[in-house]
Amino acid sequence: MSTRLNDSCGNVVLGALQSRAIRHSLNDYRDCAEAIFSALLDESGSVLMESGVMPAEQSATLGALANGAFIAVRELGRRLGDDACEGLYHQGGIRHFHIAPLSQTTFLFTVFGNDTKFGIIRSALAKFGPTLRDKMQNAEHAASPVTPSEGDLVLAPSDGTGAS
Amino acid sequence: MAVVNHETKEVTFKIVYCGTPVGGKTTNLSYIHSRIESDQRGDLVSLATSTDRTLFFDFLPINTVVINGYATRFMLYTIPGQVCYNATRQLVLKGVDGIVYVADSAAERMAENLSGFQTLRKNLADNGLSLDQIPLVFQYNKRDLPNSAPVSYLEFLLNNGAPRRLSFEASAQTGYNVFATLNAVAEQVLQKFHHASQAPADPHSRHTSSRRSGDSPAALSS
Repeated sequence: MSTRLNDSCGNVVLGALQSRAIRHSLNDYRDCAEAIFSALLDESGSVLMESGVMPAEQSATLGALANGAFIAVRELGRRLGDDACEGLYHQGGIRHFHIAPLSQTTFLFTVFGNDTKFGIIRSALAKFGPTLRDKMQNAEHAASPVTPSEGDLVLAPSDGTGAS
Repeated sequence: MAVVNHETKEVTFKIVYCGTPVGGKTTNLSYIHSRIESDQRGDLVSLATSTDRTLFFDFLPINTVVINGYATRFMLYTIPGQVCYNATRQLVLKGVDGIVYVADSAAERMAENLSGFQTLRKNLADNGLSLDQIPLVFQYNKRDLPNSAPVSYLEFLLNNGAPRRLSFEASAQTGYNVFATLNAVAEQVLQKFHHASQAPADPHSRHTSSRRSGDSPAALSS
């Protein structure tokens, strides 16, 4: 089942109304799972949406690492002859995480502490996973009003003589 | 594949530095990380071996300008250049919006430069992408080496197709043209995004300034 929110150009577009609906479900999921933090990740490593607070870390970095870890493990499974990858679970000392696919290109990343049992995470995922997937699938494919132009952006002053 | 979130008013782009093993991809990101204000970038994350060879990827998120009220973010990645990490490269290239191909200017690295570029094409094709459709900038790194090959030869070797891509002579160790390269690919990524957008641009609502000059290399944000 595809949950791509692509516009006609292949970009992932989350409309405001759809975003709120998805965020509502994500918050419900996190509450039910008694998790510290949860995020929806795209296959490119981008954080589509997040819920909760992860102090001392940037969600973008977490997203890139979580995405890389999950895709690498899934690919490893494929190369070992198993196409199914229901999730990736890491048990740490005080912080644990679980990454589960919502579709081929969207993942749900959940961070939880010692107060939460892994079974609760799985239970919450079973309850809210389909809802999240459906809401993402139903999200409107809105065209982006963001139209940066050539010359809009300079990350820093030129540091040399320029292009060859 | 940009990610646009209308609720949080953010647009995120993914730029990947590819190229020859030990060509200077990680050095590019390290320099960028060192010269951008900490409030406008995240940490540089390196998944590397004990000898600092990139194992999976390096990652550096940078926040740039606000355009039409939307915060624009670039996620910079490198991929390992070594042949054995082909599968890893392919994974990191998923959803890429722009590519910097970092070639090693050392004369004896020309064959590796070429094979690395051919591998990049294949990695993209395996992801259902074509290099022809992706913004690409060449960076001829290590121009300070005494045995560096002529730029014209590197151009002949790598940048011989149509349309010709922008290319920069650079020295990532010193920072020479590191930001020029990044600026060029970022502009191309934004251009592509702009052309793909349906709505016409409103120049009066643009919150960012055009090119700025000055000594500080901080990423811009308004």
